[in-house]
This record gives sequence, structure tokens and C-alpha cells, in this order.
Amino acid sequence: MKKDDLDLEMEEMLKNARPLSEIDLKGLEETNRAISRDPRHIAAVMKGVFVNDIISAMEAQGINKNQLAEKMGYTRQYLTGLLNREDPRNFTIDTVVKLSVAVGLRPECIRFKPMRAKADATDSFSMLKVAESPGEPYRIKSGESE
Amino acid sequence: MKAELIDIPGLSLRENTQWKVKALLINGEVSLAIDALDRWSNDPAMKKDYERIIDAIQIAAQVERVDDENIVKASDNRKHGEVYEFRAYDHERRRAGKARLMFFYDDSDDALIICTNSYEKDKGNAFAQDRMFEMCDRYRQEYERNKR
Repeated sequence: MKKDDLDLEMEEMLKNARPLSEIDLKGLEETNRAISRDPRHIAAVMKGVFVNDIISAMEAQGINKNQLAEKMGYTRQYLTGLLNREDPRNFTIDTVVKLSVAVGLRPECIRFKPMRAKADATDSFSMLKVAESPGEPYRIKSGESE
Repeated sequence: MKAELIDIPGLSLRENTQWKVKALLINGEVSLAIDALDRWSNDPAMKKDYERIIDAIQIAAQVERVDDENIVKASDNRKHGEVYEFRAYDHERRRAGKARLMFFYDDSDDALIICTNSYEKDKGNAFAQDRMFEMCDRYRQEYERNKR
């Protein structure tokens, strides 16, 4: 089979890459363990998962940002900033709960546990999840417009 | 080409995540993804980018699909299959860094995110992104072939 440009480029990249044995895997593991204890990282992951759940719920229920902002008493600009995670101070527990409930999700707070002695990057996982609310899902009230 | 999967050190994901994250190992000795991660983690100029990439990986591992295009972007070239890139993005500064790590999903029972290759974005180099997506897609096809 004739090699194309991409094949040649891939061969070149593989030739220039270090084999695993030359890479300091232990060092990489230590770095990732250190990141797992970094409050900035833990907060970033929690917020990322939370916002993803909120956006998925909005899409599933056909709610747009204008409608959600109005329901919550926010401006659209403020809500957009919140969903874009632009200001870390906006993420209070009150706001998280209010936003979850507004899109028909039930906050599920998992209790906090001590870091394991050999914590790895996965220790930042799943400390805050939102689940579908057993109650009534969010409905757009009649008269509310796009 | 032999394509296998290996763990990314320190990212051995727990069972309660939606996806397990792996790196592609080519011909039993080279992983372009791990090579890049190791390089970025040891380069002071790329350290912040490295941390943002790890943030993005961990968010992706927990959700069905990432809705935030700032951190996960799909290829918009129809010639490519379903391939994506993790982006180093600082939400507070609203600024993307240079680091990009390409990946694809394996939706089979294993539920895997498989990291393949990487690049560092430079201004005015739109060609590189498309090329790296194409490369990721080629690795995806090799992986599927090896699985059979």
C-alpha cells in the first residue's frame, strides 16, 4: 500500500517521540497525585461537571438562558458568566442549589472524606453531583417567551 | 501498526466514573499522548496548560459528553470520524492556552476515552489542528482494527 503524507508525518512523530521506558512515569504519577490535592483543580472539576449537568438539563427540557435567568431573577449576562465559570466567587452553595432546582435537578451532596494517603487524580471526582429530581420537572409557565 | 491501551500514570480512574481514560500505545513502545503529558508537566512554561488539560480530562470522564467547547472541541471536518481535542482553557481569564490533546470515545462496554496525539497551537496555524484531528482519526481506525 502506498504511503501518503499523513503516514509519513505519523512515522516522523513516532520516531521523534520518547519510548515509554525513557519517560519518567513515576514523576508523572507524582505530578498527577499532587494536582489531585490542589483546591483549584478540585473546584474546577466540580464546577465543570455541575455546569455540564445544568446545560444538559436545559437542553433536555428546552429551556434557554433567557428563560432560566428570568426564573432565577438574574440577568442573562450574569447567568452566562456563571455557566462560563468566569468568576469563582459566584459558585456559592446557595447558587448551586438554586440553579439545580430551577432545571429540575436534585443536588446530591456526597459527604466529604479525608484525602487518601496515596490520593490520585480521581480524588477530585464526584464530590458534587446533581440528579434528576423526583418532583415535577421544570416547566415553562404560559406567557413566558423565548 | 499495533495499537494497545495503557493507563495514564496517576489517572487510574475509579469505577464510578462514566468513562475510563487511557492512552494509545503504538507498536508496544511509544505513546504520543503520554510523551506530551510528561513534557508539558515538566516544562514551566506549559505547567498551567498541563493542569487545565488534566481538569478537562477529569470533567470528561464524569459526563456523557462535554458541552463546554472551551475545554472539549469536536472536529468539524466531515472527513474525520468522531474525534475531539482537550483544550487547556482558563475560564476566569477567558483564554485558551497552547496545549491540545486529541482523543476519541470507545462507546463499547468498556466505555473508554482514548488519548492519541497532541500539539501546541500557534497563532495562524489552523492547518495543524485539522491535521492532528486527521491523525487522531487514523489512530482510531487502527485501534478499531486491532480490537477485531
